[in-house]
This record gives sequence, C-alpha cells and structure tokens, in this order.
Amino acid sequence: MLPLIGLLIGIGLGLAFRVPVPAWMARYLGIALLAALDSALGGLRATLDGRFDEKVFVGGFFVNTSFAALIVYVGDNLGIELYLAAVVAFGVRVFQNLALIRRHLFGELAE
Amino acid sequence: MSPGARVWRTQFILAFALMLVGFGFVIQMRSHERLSERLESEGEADLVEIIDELNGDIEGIRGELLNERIKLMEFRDSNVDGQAMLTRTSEEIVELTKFVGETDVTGPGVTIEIVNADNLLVGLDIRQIVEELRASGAWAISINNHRLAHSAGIWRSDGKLYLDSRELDSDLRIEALGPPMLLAQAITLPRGIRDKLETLRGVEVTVREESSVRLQRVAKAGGKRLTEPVDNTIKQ
Repeated sequence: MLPLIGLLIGIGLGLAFRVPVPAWMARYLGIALLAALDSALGGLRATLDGRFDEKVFVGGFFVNTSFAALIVYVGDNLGIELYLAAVVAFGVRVFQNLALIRRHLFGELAE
Repeated sequence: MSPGARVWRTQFILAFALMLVGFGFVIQMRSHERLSERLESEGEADLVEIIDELNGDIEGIRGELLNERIKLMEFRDSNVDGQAMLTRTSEEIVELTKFVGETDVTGPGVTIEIVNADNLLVGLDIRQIVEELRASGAWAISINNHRLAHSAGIWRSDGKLYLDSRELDSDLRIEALGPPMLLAQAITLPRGIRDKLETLRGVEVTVREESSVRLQRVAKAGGKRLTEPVDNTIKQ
C-alpha cells in the first residue's frame, strides 16, 4: 500500500510543480525512467518473494538509471542507436517483473 | 531490527523509489507534450506572424506615401529649384534600394553561425533571431547567402527549413549589417535567444563582430508574378 501512495505522491508533485526539461535531455530522462521503473518493479517482486535487500535495491536503482542515460549519451556520440538496446533490455525486464508480480498476487488470492 | 520494522523500512524505500518514478514520468510527459504542441502549432504561428508582418508593411507604406505627398505639396508651394530636389530624391532612392535589398551592400556587422546537428530548429527560432537583429538596428540581413527582403517568410516543413521557398541547409550562417556590438549583444544576452537555442540538443551558436560584411542583393523570385503594377503617374 505504501509504495502505491508513494507513486501517487510523485505524480501529484509532478502535476503541482512545472519542472522544465530541456529538449536535449528528454531522451536521457526517458530511458533513465524506464530503468528506474525496472528497478522499482524488481524491488516489488523481491519484496513479494521475501528476499528484498535494500543495499542491492538502492544501489541498483541509482546505478541503473545513471548508466542507462550514459549508454544513450555514448551511443549518440558514437553514432550508434544504443538507445534501442537499452529500451529492449529494460522493456523485457519490466514485463518479466510484472508477470512475476501478477503470478504472486494471483497465487495469494487463490490461497 | 524487528520483522515489522523491516517490512515498514522496505515499504518506505519502495515508496520513495516509486515517488521518484511517478514524478519523473509526469515531468517527462509534460515536456514531451509541450514539444509536440510547439511543432504542431508552427504552421498556425507562421500564418499569424506573416499576417502581422503584412499589416506592419501596409502601415509603413501608408506612412511613406503620406510623407511623399507632403513633400510634393512642399515642392509645389516652395521656390526650391528643380535640380536640388532631383538630387535629394535620387539620394533617397539610393538609400531605399539599399534598405529593401535591391543592391549589394557592405559595411560593419555580425556573422552568426548556427550548428544544427540534430535538425531541431524551427522557423520560429530563426525568425526570433531576425527580429532581435532588426530591433537592434540591423538594416540588411542574409541567411545562408540569401538576402532577406523586407517581408521574408521563414518556416519549417517536412523536417526542412525554408526561406521564401528556398530550402536552407540545417547549419545556418546569418549575416547582418548594423552596429556590430549592439547586434552581437542582442543575440548573446544572458537568457537571450542564443541561450534559449543552445538548450536544444546539437545546437551551437557562434557570434562574431565583423568590420566588413558584404551582402548580395535579393534574388528575384522565379515564376509568374501574381500582381502587376498599374499606371501610377501623378495627374497634374
């Protein structure tokens, strides 16, 4: 319940404060958000599995988001669409995590 | 740490992470919407600006016409000899031809080089530079060696920039004649047009003051003219 409240507070803050994002940064922020979402869902899944490690989660959350943006930056400078590689990798993980969370929740409901 | 406290701590950390994700998603969505709206509204903004410029031109021409009528009346009523009036009128015509772009011109000014690596600039960005230059005293301007007439159209279509129907390269070189220091300051002012454009990815703006810039005359537009002059001989 608390994570859901956190998400709603974040959305509320985003709506309340107009934070300008320069156009050149939008691409990096987009991929960083996908990485952050992947980490957050991974954390939720680990919690449901009873093996959540806060050091691993906090480290992974910030390292993944920074590294995702860095990959896009490096790709832009090398002229390679590394952006796509990051989108596919994180996209697949997001869906895997969602599937595991869904199974876990349905399993609990069935019991 | 008790199991209950551990659960709360875990939940709090996840809530904080999701709060960051939610916040990030909203600001990203908003900035994306703003960018899309800006590109979509570009056509309409162009029309509004063109109509505004045309209205300004009409007012300017009316003013010029009134001045010329006053001069004509003064000439009729005064004893100024015809040769002096002819010389003065010829000088005014030369100045006007320079101003409207009918002749090549040279003089001090500025050169603005814009690197537009990711082709993100739109017509409005270029028009803002031109407006800043005009407001700071530029009396002749060219973009990529195309001289701007007094009412030039600059727009973007299908990812390309156009000046009066001529396609422009994505990298731009704008030259302007006028007081070099004032023109350079108009562009490089903190939080001014240069700072605004350089927030776009791949855009770099370099401004140089020049002691001498040469601009070619306005190229004649091809195709058939849609209007023809009528007999405007003054009936005595």
